[in-house]
Amino acid sequence: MIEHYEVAGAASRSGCPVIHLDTVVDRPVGEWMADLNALREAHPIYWNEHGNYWVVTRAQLTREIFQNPVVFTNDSISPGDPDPSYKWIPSNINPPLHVQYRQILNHAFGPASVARIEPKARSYCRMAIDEIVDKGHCDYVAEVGGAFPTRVFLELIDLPWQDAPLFVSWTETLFNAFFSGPEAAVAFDESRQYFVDLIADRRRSKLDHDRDFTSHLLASTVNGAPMPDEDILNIFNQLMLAGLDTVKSALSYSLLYLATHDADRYRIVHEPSLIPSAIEEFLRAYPLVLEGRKLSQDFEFHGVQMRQGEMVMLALPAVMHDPDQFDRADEVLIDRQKNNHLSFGGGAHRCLGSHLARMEMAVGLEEWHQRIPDYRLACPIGEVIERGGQLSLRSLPLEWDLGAGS
Amino acid sequence: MKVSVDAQKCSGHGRCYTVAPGLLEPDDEGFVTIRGSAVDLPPGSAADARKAAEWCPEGAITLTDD
Repeated sequence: MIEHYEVAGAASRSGCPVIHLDTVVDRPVGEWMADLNALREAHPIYWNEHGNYWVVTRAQLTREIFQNPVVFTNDSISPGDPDPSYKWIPSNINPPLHVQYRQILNHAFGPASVARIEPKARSYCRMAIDEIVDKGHCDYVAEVGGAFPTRVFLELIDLPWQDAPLFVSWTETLFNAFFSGPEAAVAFDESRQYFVDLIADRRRSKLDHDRDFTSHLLASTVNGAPMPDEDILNIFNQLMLAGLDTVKSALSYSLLYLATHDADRYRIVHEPSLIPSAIEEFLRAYPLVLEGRKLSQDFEFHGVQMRQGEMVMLALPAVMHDPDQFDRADEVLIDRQKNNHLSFGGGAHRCLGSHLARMEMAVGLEEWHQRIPDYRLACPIGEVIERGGQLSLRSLPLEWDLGAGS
Repeated sequence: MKVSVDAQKCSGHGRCYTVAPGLLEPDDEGFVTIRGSAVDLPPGSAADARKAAEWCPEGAITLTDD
């Protein structure tokens, strides 16, 4: 049942149907996926007159766009905002300059750095579960999924975990306001000031740049010159916005699935070796990001005439359920044998935090199921609400019997 | 048999060395160490190499007969 978008009569643009799709509204969970799946089945590319951008729904086309950064640039990654007032680093930087920033950042977010902080991640996750295990219920989003990844993130970039509530508050305000309005401006300014003070502190204290992330940035060069403070601020803003909301959301969708699918939950509890493949499958089945690219030039893409300056939205939730790419694409198979999903994007801009996110998801699933192996959704599924834009669950009420496994 | 990794396409997803840990490994940045080169497959590793290729989101990994 498609209710939230309209096909605008017989209108078409360069052979593509015109739709009116407002992506930033709250809806019951699953409706976004159903609509985007229906769009993919009907056509590979649309023009969305709400926001004025192209919408690409299929996997192979999406891969081509990710792998063609010369035409499909990162000048903006927000489909409805072709000329953003901010510049995120590295997201809004194009190759070849982008490579320099990624080389500075990749090491800190690579598998070895992530493995080093895994024990800390585990203890932060246990702390969050300790807080709720004896209650017999919790809002997973706020109390677990949104609690420990922030501390892990701060650990990775050598900031005090006690500052986690500040980061949670800033990111929630910014995402809930879709980055506009007075509340978002206050949150943005406060977070910016935090990082300004941080840079000043690290300049004074002269920490070892192998041991402190901010000092590493201060010691880094771009085009042969020290990285400007403005760049460092833009890196921190991006890391905060890209790293916190997404892990919380990915874990929340995983727990929602397992709370409502007893056989798979049983398998996860009794065969924890399945967790890595289950994580890839949850990433594939519940992509969060409606990613944008901006055309650097007029370009004919698979018969569609696109114009310089226009935006393209890559509708990853539809793309990752494309039956041309995945067998039984609409089913969640926690032991899927072939899973080359693009939920972390692709091409040069592949999510910097993907290794971190995987580790946090593994820790989150392992620790939860050791402590609370049997649990259920504490409300009808129709009452679980999904935020549009960057998909996320507003809350996830779970409950379990006390004394049974806790 | 050789396995090769296209340096232009490989973007450090890390799926290959995760599903074929005995065959492939990451560098400090998270790229597979053989990015941009072709290496002979050790005996008995063809299945692992095929899996690595199948899991690569970029289609960067190719297997070729000698």
